[in-house]
Amino acid sequence: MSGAIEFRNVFFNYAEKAVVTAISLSIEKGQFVGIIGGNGCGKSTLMKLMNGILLPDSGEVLVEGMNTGNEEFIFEIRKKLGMVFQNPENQIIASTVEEDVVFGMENLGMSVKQMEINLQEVLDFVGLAGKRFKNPNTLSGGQKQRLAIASVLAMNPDHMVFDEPTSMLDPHGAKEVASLFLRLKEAGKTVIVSSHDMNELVNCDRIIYMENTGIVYDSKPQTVFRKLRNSEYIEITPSLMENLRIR
Amino acid sequence: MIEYKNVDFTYSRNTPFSQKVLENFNLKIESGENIAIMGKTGCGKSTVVKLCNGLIKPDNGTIEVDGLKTTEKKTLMELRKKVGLVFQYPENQFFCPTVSEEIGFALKNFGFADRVEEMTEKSIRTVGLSHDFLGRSPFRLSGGEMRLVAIASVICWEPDYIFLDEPTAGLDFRGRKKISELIRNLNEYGKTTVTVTHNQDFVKSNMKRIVHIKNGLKFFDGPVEEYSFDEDI
Repeated sequence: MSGAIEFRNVFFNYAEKAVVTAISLSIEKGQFVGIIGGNGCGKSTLMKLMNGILLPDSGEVLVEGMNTGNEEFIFEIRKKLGMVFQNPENQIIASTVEEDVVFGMENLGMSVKQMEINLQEVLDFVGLAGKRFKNPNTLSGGQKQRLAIASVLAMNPDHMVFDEPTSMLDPHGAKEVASLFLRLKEAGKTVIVSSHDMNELVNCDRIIYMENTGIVYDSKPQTVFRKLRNSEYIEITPSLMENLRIR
Repeated sequence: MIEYKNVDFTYSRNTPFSQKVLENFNLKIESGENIAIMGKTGCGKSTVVKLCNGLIKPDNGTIEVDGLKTTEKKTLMELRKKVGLVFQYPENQFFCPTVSEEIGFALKNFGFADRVEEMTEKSIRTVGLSHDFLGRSPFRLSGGEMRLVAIASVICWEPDYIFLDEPTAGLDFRGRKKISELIRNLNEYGKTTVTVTHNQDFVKSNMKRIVHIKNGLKFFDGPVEEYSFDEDI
């Protein structure tokens, strides 16, 4: 049985430097997965391989059975799997909130009626319904990142990948964004998130810990965090462990 | 000493998108201080940083660094040698093909041409990266590594005042500890550090004075011990 997102013995190098080595991985639809690890361990590369922004040097990445290396599938893959990046400033392209959300849907050729329905639905979901006609420049960091999420969500992907979506935000904004992950999972989406703040990942079904270009641990949060208690790269606080115990 | 006197600043002035960010803002930073600037996204923190070396000019008021005005063209080079600025988004500040050229660029500009190698080596080690990074492209680093290189490319010429805009964003645990250590070391050598950050734990354990900006005004300015940390900042 194959997962919704599947890596088969994937290798990737940047200019002769190995970034991702021998990764095999299967993520089921609807899973909430956290990806953690030190700077430069390969997290972002792993995520960019998922929708064909990067292609493996060897091995293959499949999204619902479609190979990212096959150009015929790339449009379909990107429709199924949406990505949100660290810096919301680099993802917002329009001059009003509404236009930004609609842009992706227009590219997919949705009907005006459908776009209107989706627009209202996603703005409600991320809590920006009142900002529909505002200029994105007037939004706070957390609001901008939620707008970026809404714009991806509007295209109705089954899987959503977030590469450190909260690291540029203030604590309030980070909370606003992190609270969406669980709700997205509840809405049936596959949610894949990388973060340096373990508190955002306590609700994950599964945590993947990477070190030195490979996957070292892949298990429940409790198990992985316990193993990383003395890690150089991951901060495991007593309050985090306490938080997990109560769950 | 750096002094902001009655500073007003508005983005996109005289356009429909005009946005007032700072109003009658005053701030004195003494030599050797260790300050955190805090406040919500959009409150004007980064604007304060960009004003300090004349990247943007105030609408009203003045900013002086050791008596040099940021609006005075003749002394701008001298002023910029005194003030190092590490931006929030490191990928926007790189333009050289290798990390060593990136770091060496400022060194050559500021008259250290004969010490480039030694000073480059020292600064890359100070941020906790190995010598191997010097030959790599800054654009092909991970987000966290980029940030460390950006910091190295500013501390390398040993400016007296160092402004760090969100230096721990995107860094792993080890990187965050490295930055704490770096700030401590800089202060020990008599350097002034001004750190814009949202990371409250980082402030509690590393900073001495907090300046909290709210709606373009100073909301709090005093020692860390007197500041009441609240989740909502």
